[in-house]
Amino acid sequence: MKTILLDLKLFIILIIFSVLLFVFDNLGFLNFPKSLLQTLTIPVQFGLYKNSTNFKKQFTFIIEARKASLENNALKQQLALISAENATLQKKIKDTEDLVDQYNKLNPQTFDLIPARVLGVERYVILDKGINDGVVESQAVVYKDNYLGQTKNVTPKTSQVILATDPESKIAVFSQGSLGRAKGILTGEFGSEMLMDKILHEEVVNVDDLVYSEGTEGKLPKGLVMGKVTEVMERQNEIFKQAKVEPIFKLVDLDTVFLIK
Amino acid sequence: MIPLIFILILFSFLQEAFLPFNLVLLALVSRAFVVTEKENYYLAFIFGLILSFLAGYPLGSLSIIYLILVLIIHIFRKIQFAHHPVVVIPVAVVALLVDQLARSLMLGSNIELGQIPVQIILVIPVYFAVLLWEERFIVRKEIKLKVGK
Repeated sequence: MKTILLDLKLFIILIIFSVLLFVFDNLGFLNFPKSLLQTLTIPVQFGLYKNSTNFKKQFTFIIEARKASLENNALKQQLALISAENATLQKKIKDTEDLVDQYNKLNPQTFDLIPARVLGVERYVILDKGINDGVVESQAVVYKDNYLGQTKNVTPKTSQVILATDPESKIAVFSQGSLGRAKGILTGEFGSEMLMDKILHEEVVNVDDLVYSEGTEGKLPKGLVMGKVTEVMERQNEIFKQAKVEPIFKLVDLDTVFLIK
Repeated sequence: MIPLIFILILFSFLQEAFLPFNLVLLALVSRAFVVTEKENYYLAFIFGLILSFLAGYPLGSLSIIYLILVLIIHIFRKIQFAHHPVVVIPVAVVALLVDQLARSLMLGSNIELGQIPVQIILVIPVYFAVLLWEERFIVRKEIKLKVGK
């Protein structure tokens, strides 16, 4: 009890001191000692404040650097995705352009076309469209109005194409030049050339004449460009003359081709 | 006592410079809770004075508040359940609210309650640090060994 009373006495004394200080300070009596003390404390407070600000800046820099690194990685991934997307879109644009080009050459109202991609080129060319897409055997494969070949073995998802340059390929054709026209049979030769045979001597065929399909084969329409005459072979003692024909487009250089239904 | 005073001076400068916590008040509340000695009044008076000086409040204003808080805690400590360490948390909350209220009245600003939850968490380590210091590192005159018969 005695200690509590002593403590209370001390408490009251300190409260009175505090009240006095409060009153004196409000009256401005303590301004001089306060300003003296502040000359000591303000540099300390300023130093602490400045250091804390610098520390915060450093800390913020580390956080920002980490955030920037994460953001950089995310952006790189995003850029890679956008690049891939861009490549796909470019391919789609190219496909669309090819399709539009194709429709401009072959009227879609006359020809029902199936676009197909080239999957591989060996003796036969493999396309990514098959029975499931409506492809059947002996369909003409074209690019613009140029004949490339015709389908042979068709599976549900792929189809093989015999090129016009293949020895198996025999198509009735005619050549058309400024001086006249000639009929013949176009046979493939191993390599990149074709031979236009059975041309009558009286018929006119010249180098650079374009060769077109006759359209006598079942699914092959008339007027498709087969190639260009590169050489005319003529002998007096033979009944027919021949001409070497070179295709205008090489299938290896093409991405998208079209099948005529 | 001297190390505690130095630590409290350091806390005063730190909290008035950049720390958003009232570490001095938490230490004063914790000490008043651990030991009911008259030194608590001296500490409340001196550090109330230092804090009001550093923060630019009228001198003695915080001293009055801290002295009253210490007296209330000393009286509160006489109640049986108040000896439990968990009780320091609501006591600290009241002390922090009173301090905030006083500061906002003096500055004429709104009460900032945002930092109070963090300080409530902070009072637990402060309390145990003070308890450890006062029980293990301070020698008291009244501690006497009992010699068995």
